Amino acid sequence: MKPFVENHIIELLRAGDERAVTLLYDHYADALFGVALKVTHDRDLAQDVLQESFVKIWKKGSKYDASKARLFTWLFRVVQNTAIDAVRKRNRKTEKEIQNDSASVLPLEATSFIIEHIGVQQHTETLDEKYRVVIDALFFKGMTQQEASDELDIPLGTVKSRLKIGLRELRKLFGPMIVIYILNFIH
Amino acid sequence: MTQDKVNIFLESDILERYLLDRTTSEENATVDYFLSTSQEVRDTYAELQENLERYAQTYATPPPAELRDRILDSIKGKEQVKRSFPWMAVAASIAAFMFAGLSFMFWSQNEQLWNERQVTNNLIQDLNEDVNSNKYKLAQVESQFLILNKPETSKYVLDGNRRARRFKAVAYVNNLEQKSYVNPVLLPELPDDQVYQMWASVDGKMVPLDILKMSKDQLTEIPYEERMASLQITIEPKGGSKQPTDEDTVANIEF
Repeated sequence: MKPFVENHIIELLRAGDERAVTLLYDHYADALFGVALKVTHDRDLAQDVLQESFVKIWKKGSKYDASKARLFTWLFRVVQNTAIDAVRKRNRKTEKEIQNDSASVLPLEATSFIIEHIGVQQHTETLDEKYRVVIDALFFKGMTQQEASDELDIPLGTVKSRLKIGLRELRKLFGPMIVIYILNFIH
Repeated sequence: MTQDKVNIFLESDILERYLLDRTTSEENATVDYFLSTSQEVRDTYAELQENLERYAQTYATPPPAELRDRILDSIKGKEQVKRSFPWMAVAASIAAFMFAGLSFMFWSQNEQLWNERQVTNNLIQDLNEDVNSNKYKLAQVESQFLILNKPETSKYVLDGNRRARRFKAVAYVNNLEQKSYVNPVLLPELPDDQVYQMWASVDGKMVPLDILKMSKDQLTEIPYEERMASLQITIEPKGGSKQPTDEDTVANIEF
């Protein structure tokens, strides 16, 4: 996201201008829907999550503090927390009916999504599986580090170190992509 | 803010959890403090946010087309939470600031105590080494004392001649244990380029034993020579000689 657009959206949000939501949707809906899907593993629920999240974003927009987090980080947190709450609510409802499935509140199995960013996705897949699993568990499944440690059956210290190293590896992976992006932009 | 503290902070996982909104209010205050004081922490946090966005983009999925209108319709007519004068926010900021200060203070104190503990541990270790060293020395002295007190140990007093009248040393020889010691009671000062050297006469030949050092009341073990007939002290050039300079003899005793 270019800083100019981001700043414009923030200004509109603060001014209570509904065009902010339109711009937010047009620029971030795909990424945020992806987050909701990764957490819920349920397209219908993910749609509800996205709708509820945008209402929250609109309502709390004037309180957004750009000095604490970038716009996407803030949006990500809202969607992730909304999705986690939605999954917990759903699981509580269906606990008796699907006891077997609800044993794991947030299953780790990968699901197939429509990936528009195929190049980016392939790039991410080059990240070592052991790091990806940990980052996914923490970023998209809303697990605490302790929960990820229990779920993945790896020591807490290893979860912490894999998160750190994984993020560092991401930087290496994404570094060249920015160059490609810039070159495409120039041509 | 020392680099060590920044390093310790970055080595922890607080910043990663802060990114994902998984920190306690106490931890938030600590993170805010570091963000406001360290460029390195700010850069790392910015990098983490960029990574999060890029990684999330890799899972981007277009939502159903009708969702856009549904969401935009649901926003219409909904009031934003208006910003009144943020008394609570001001109070919270002051509290957070104080809390951050306190957190940092406690954290610093903790670090300081930890460092002091390390220093104390090192001190205890040094003291233990001193105790062991003293025990070893004491054992040596006891061993020497035992040998000196044995009836078969002979004591020889070496008095200086005209060359060094004040010279006085005591030698102890135990032929049974094959040990010999010398106690240089008084060694008159020599020029820097000269030393006192001790010799033993063995089978008619003079064998160099040791250079005498001025260590008052310090019993020093010297090499034992069987069939020692006499002991001789001479003044020699610094570093000692292979043969004694007879004219520079300061003390001599025959057994």
